[in-house]
Amino acid sequence: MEQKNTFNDTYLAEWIHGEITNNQLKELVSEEDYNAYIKLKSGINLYEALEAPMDNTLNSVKNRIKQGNPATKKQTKIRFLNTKTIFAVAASIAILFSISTFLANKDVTFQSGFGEHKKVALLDNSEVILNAKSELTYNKKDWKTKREVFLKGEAFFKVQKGSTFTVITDSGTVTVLGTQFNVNAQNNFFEVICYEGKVKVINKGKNFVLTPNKSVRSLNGTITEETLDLTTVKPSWILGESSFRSISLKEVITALEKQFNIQIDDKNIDNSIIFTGAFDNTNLNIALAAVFKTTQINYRLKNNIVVLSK
Amino acid sequence: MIKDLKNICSPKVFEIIFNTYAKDVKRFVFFKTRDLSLTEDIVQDAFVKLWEGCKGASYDTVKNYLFTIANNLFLNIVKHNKVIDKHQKGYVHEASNESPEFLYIEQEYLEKLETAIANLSEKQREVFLLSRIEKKKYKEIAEQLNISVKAVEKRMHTAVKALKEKIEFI
Repeated sequence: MEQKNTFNDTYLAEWIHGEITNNQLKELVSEEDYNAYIKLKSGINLYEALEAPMDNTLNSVKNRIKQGNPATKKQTKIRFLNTKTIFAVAASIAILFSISTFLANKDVTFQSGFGEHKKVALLDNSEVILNAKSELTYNKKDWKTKREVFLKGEAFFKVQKGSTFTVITDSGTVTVLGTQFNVNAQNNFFEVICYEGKVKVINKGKNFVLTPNKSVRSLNGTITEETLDLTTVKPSWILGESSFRSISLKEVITALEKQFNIQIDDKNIDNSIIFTGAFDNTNLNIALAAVFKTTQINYRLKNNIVVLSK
Repeated sequence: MIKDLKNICSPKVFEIIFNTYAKDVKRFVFFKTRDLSLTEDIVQDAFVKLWEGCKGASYDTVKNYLFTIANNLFLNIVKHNKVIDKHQKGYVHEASNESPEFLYIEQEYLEKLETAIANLSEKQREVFLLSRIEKKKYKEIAEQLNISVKAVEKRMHTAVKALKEKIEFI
């Protein structure tokens, strides 16, 4: 043990700085004093932790605000009401109220067209991006008590933290608390990919809990759970490319039809073959080439109809 | 000169509010959670939530508002932790090279310590804070105050001794 030349009047400074060990201190003071000093050191450490500058915290808060909720960036105009305006406002509120109670019982539906991505903001500032030919519905009145939406097709969800958020599709149900995930509910294909947070999926009575990078899919009745190597924080279709992993060609054909508003006649080929690959959402010719050249299928495009042959 | 302190939705005012109350909120949350990492999360969440609800908040009551948000966040976590499966991820106590015993210091003891620090002599307090809060080495403090390193160490030594004695008498 290194014997430092400690003077009687500075050993506490050295000890508090860690240059003298607790055991060494023990030899310099009474037992009672030692215990008091040990507790004091803990108290000082706590004091330091609580009094430390909070610049980093402030920066984190600022970053989170910048990256978060678009609604918070809005500037609110403050209107000073005078009597005239108050009556006018009151009258219009009365009318709006009656219309809104009428509408409140109705379902609100958002639909995307061929090749269209539609961004939807829900009442709780959750965000939904619909892929082509997809439909999202929710009931305005029910929304107050439970966050529930109905989905046909494919959408990427960015759910605000809060009460349970449920996505109901014909093939299964997805519930989350606040997170980012992709749901793809087509006729014979159902897949959920978790990008952030925790997602619970119920499919045919079975429960799955997904954490980031995990997915569950049901293809023609077969359920597979996977861990993906996601390099992006959003699915590729949002960024303009539709990608497929071990999907039957039939699903890829449907996706092409929805993206480009075409019809594909596939009766002369075997559309059950498995496809892994991607196509660009912006150019039909490139997309067709990407899908069919790799699967060695001949295709002929005429007037928005593609005929496939071997 | 800030014209309108009432507009919390202004970044300048929000920052003033942060600088005024963040440490108090942190302390409040720490003594509930006894976990520095969790405390940091809750404090951040509270201020982000304050910003998101800034239209409805008033400068006069913002401290209460912050404490209420923080308390609710804490209660949600407690509720959630009671329900979550043991296999799922819980909150990990901060790993630190300091002894974790400081996590269990009573709030009362901390308050006594703060009173004692406030009652140190000017010279003792100065060295104490430069060393413990600004994390300066004795050599740096000596240069800054234009005294010898030995003088700095003496002051620190008497400060620590005084703190121990004062706490015993508070």
